[in-house]
Amino acid sequence: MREPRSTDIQTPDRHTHSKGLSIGSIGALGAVVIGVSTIAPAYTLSGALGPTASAVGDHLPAVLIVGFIPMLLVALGYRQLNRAMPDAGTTFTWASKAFGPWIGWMGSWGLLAATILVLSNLAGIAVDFFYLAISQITGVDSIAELTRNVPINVITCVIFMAAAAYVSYRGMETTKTVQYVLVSFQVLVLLWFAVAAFRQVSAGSAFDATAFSWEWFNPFGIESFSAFSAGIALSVFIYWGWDVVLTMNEESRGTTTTPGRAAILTILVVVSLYTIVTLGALTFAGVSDGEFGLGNPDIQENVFAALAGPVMGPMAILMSLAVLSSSAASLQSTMISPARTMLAMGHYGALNRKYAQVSPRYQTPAYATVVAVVIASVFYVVMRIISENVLWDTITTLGMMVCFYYGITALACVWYFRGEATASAGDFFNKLLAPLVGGILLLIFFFQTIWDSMDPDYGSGSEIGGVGLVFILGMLVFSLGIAAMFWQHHKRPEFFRRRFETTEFPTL
Amino acid sequence: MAEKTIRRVAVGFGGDERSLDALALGIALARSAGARLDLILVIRQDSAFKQEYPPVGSVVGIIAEQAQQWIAEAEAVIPPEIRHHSHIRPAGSIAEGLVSAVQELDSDVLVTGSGIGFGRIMTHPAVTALLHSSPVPVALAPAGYRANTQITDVMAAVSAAHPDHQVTRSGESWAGQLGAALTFVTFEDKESGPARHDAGKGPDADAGTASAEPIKHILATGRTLRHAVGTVDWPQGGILLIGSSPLARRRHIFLGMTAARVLSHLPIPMVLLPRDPDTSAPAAR
Repeated sequence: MREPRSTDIQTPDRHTHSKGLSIGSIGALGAVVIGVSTIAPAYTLSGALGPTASAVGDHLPAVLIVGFIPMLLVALGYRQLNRAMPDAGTTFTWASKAFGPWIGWMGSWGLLAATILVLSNLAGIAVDFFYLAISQITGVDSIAELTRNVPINVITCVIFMAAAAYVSYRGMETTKTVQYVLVSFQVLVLLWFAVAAFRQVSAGSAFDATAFSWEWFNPFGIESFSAFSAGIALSVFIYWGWDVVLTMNEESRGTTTTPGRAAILTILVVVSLYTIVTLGALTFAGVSDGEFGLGNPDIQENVFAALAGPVMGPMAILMSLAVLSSSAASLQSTMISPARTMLAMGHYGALNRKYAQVSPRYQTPAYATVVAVVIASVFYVVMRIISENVLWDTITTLGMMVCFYYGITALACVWYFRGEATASAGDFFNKLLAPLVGGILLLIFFFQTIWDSMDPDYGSGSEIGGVGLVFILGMLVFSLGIAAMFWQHHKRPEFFRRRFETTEFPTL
Repeated sequence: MAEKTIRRVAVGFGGDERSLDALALGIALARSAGARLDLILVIRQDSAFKQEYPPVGSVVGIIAEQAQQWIAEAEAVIPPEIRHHSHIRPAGSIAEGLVSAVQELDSDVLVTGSGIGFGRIMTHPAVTALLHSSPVPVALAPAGYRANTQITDVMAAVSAAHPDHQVTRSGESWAGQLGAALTFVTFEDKESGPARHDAGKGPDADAGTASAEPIKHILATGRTLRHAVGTVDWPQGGILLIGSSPLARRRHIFLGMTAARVLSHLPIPMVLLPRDPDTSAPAAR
């Protein structure tokens, strides 16, 4: 007597889904913690505050608040697509399904480029703060300068990335407790920074005490549309991560209010935090190009490294630890993304089958992880050698890439749901109007940024042969993408020939 | 008999080399005991606190598809006369999924790969977790273990201090069911002091074992446990039964210090038994 040979695949309980735990069982607080942790405010502000100040001057708070709107509009569409097609691939799957394989492939390339850029930026910021923290602990100032030594910087950075890749390959997870501790620590240190800045301003010991002005909140006061676009493109990067709260699994214990409430709570927490810290930095340091001024190109690519000392005194070590832990955690969560995107692309035949390989021991996409970390490392090394402002340039290019793939994703949402978007007012808003407006806005900012970045004075002022480095980088990314796409078309034409359909996976 | 009969052998399978070791041991045990084999492949699901960014959606589907291939390859190895069934199930961690599966399937022993036998214990977190939490005996296949058609020898590790330990009874029961010869082994290293045990007066066991001859008792001594393990001529078709540490919760296993040190140098499979629900009570016969 033989048992049936078929494999029994167990369907999990209703409330466990792709993410194991649903948002309902995490609760709104847990969701906020996850959202804030993904945004990584300490890292983000340190890396993006300077470049944004350089673009829009003291209108920073205005851009931070307005910049949120296109992000929100796109995220609404993202959420609808995620409900309709929750399996691996996101932008790749959705854009391929809506617009066909070619646009799907390029959209995914934009996402991959953005993650590779952010990986190298994260690791770069981590290196700065690593040596800064050691120098603060030991009291030896020269150690902080090690980060300017290109070979040391490059080697440390590559080690950090390799470590993150190993953690990702092993499939290790940050536990809930660690996550709560890291996030609380970051938020407390950032508030401390803001309060310390305000106190120095009122005590008259600030570097360049600048009186608060409501004009800072006026987006129409920004000098030009170019400056505004640059600011928005950067603020898209600043909020990048927030949307994770909206895409978290929702099927849970009959609750539909939790994801919405968690998303709104996260917005409030993050926008308030950003505004307070920005006001603290602005009133303390002003936007001049003086030693600690936010307009000083020497400190702009990593403002907290320069400002934490004068603002917080000996407690600046806490800021170093906050940024270091925040970028280390982000490095880890960002490493997973390109690997899994390539896994999905390999699975659907858009890349070599090798990318679809899963390590049996750890159930992680081993090959794709290695490829992602090698590309990110090579990119960082080359950039560090050719540019003195590698962090700044990568952030600006990153903002551009995010605008691109978000724009494509939003329009994919509009096209995918075009038939059913008129069913109700809510559907019309969530599936059509919001993503349409958000997507068009982001693509406008994308093209404006590309156009402006040709100017050699754009952003950090890095240039090659009179053309802005950011423009060159952007063009290089897209031409490589197109070349790679045609290569894939040559090697694996089936993907491009047939109509894209998502796989019916075994239901787990 | 207090001891459960071995009716269902579960194999924690993952598609890697070590899983093939486990499968080989599972087949040998199932064949010798006439038991049914369950292959269990656990797919790990991300916790909500592990958010990749930017979001990629769920990769569980792709991994499940791959898992079906691994299972198919494994099923091709199982001899036709062994009844078997495969299970793919999601869980927060591999160990968690295996434990809930063996409870649900009412398995009598859980076999996993381990990479033991070359002076090291494998580092897979799932195995470490299982060795400290499984509710059923865990059998660890050494690296490179390949199916020996039958289990020929059951070696039961008994302590010199407590000769009437549950392992004595379990050894008898396992040897009986597997149709294998029973041997008692006592490990002693010089570091823990001289042996107080007289090897000649080993635990008596005559009821129901395969062999009518008096049970062999090996006293393995050495400067360290490692040397002690090295002095024994381990039979090819042997398995070593060893008890849990007193730290174990009742009916659960917990790898003790001695067991861990023996394990890292043992060339044959080791079966770690859960702590008896009532260790003090005499065996019910």
